[in-house]
Amino acid sequence: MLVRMTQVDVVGPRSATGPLVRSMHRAGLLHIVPFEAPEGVSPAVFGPGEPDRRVGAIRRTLGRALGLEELLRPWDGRAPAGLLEELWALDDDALAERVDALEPARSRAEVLTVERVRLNGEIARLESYRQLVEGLRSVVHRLPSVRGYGSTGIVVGSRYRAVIPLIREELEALTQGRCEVVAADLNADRVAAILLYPVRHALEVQSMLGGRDLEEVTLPEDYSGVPFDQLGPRLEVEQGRMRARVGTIDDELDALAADHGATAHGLRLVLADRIAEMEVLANAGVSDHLVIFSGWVPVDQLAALRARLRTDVGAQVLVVERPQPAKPAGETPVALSNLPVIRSFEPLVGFMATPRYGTIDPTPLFALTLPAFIGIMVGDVGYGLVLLAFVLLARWRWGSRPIVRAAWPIGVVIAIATIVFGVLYGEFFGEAGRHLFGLRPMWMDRGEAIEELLLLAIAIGVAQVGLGMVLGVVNAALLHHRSELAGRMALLTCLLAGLAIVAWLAGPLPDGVGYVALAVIVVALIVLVATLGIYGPIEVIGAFGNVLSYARLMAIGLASVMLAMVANRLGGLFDNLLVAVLVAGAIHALNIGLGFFDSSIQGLRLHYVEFFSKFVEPGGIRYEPFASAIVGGSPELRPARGG
Amino acid sequence: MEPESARFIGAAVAILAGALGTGWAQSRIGAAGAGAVAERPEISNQILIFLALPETMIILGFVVAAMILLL
Repeated sequence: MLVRMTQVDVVGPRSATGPLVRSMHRAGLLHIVPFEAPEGVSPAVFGPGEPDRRVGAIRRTLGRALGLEELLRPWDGRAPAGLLEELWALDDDALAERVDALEPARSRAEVLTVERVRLNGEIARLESYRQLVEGLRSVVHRLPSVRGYGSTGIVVGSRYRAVIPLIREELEALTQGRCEVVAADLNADRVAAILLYPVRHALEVQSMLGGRDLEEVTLPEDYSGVPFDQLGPRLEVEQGRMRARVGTIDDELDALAADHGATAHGLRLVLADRIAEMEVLANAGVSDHLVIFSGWVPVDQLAALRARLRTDVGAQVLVVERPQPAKPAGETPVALSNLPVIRSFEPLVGFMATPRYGTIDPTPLFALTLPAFIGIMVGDVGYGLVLLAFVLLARWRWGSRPIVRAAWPIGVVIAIATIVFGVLYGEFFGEAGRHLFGLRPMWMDRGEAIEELLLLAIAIGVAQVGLGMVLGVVNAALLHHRSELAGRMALLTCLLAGLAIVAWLAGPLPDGVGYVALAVIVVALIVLVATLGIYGPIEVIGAFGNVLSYARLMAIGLASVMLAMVANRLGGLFDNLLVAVLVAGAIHALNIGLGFFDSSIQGLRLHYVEFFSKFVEPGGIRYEPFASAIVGGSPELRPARGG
Repeated sequence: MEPESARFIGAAVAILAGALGTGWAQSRIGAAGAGAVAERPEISNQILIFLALPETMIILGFVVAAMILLL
């Protein structure tokens, strides 16, 4: 659900600006917006705060801290809260001294990183040349090894092999015949050649080859006199030496990261905080004696903000609520407050749009229906257990990665939905459960009840699109959009009347109801044209198209169950149990991968296109409170209402 | 032609037309999407959804075919 917000002005004496900003920053509750004088107050009285002259120096210190953190990238932990507190207590000069103190580590990390990049480039170059020499082993013995001669390897596609004689001609002309070219097929698609020429012509050869679309590999000068048949092993030894050195560099970088990574990260956060505190003054209204910050705060956090400011700054600071507007203001930031499991789905909802303040939060519905749709499509106990095992393994093995931390609860809910629908369909790796332990469908057999499944999918479409339209009507009412309200009600009426007409034509409803439905649909169409214009009737056709689109729930589900059946039957063709299990397992693995991927995409699409388009009002602004790294940098200290 | 044969042919045409339309639309969206993702990798998720949009055509073709065969 959306958290109720209120707009406030934080008013304090100008002399207490510093402590006031620091207190608001530590409270981490106020979403600050540029101050606009309320009605009745002359805008001339308040001007923006003057930028702090120290900000330039701090920005330069921050730049150095950022460079250091970048170099110590192997460190991926967090700065402990105690360290942040300690760094926050330092003044600007002391912070700059702490950054200076890390200078030896920074310069050492820089030297190591440059060497690492150079060595990796060199290893790649030697590898290319080694592969070339290995590929041309049969002809390379023809090349003389002469001091003062350089060599370049080239690789071209087989169909462009005619270019090699042309290059030979040009090279002979360039070196007056003092050159050698050997070429051979590297593989079916590529031809390789080594060009041998006096080193003094190296630049001319380079420019001669440069104009052509060739893969070039130049041998380092140190190897210019080495016989070609000894080149491969020599290059391999050199690569091994370089790789060992890269390993040593990595160890040293890891040690530097372990020693200084947390401090560098903490310095970066605290310096960024200092700059934020200086820059926030640009949003304030400042008079001769007062400073005012305007912003939004969750209603249930208002008392906490007041108490915090009173404790930190004193009773002279006032938090004044502005009168609530009659209809929700578009610039009100949006904060969501949902149960932990539902909260995992918030990024998927926000991925398309943040709902506007004052409208319905679609996340709880989304968290209920997306897993259900995937369950309906995949619906197999075995597949659900495989997904559950995979998700739990990922959480155990890579649980610290943000993507795994965010996605694993979603995976668990989807796995449970898949298992539940698997039980209802009586499927365990297709019909294998039936043969292995007599599993029977509790609801329907998807392989047989195709018509029922199609009707179920369409019924789900009617229910969800209809619900979307009802919520659209509610949202239009909440936002006081009268024209939209009439249009959406007419659209909903059209859908219901259309369904009544279909039922009448199919038989169950009496003629009277059918005629009434026809009359209602005509009136609703007139209202639609009056409110939405010519697009109104098109919306009606679109709505019926949206409903039919839910047939994909059945279509993809049917494809999944059929592929599972194919897997079992193909496996059953083999007498050898191991081969049978391997064949069936491979096709089941493919079905699991395809099934979950495709059903997720289709489930998301049904929500974004068919469902959300009926009621979600996009354009919401995310609630991003002015929060210090001390409350925002560590998850355990983050404010209770994260936007 | 037998009426039964005409039903099967009709169902096949419904699927065929939907599949061709979906394939053509996805080829265009896929090519444009690949170019867009190359420049802005952060939009790859949106492109996946866009790629799934034309599948409505084959789904509708499937519904029509199912109606021809089942009703």
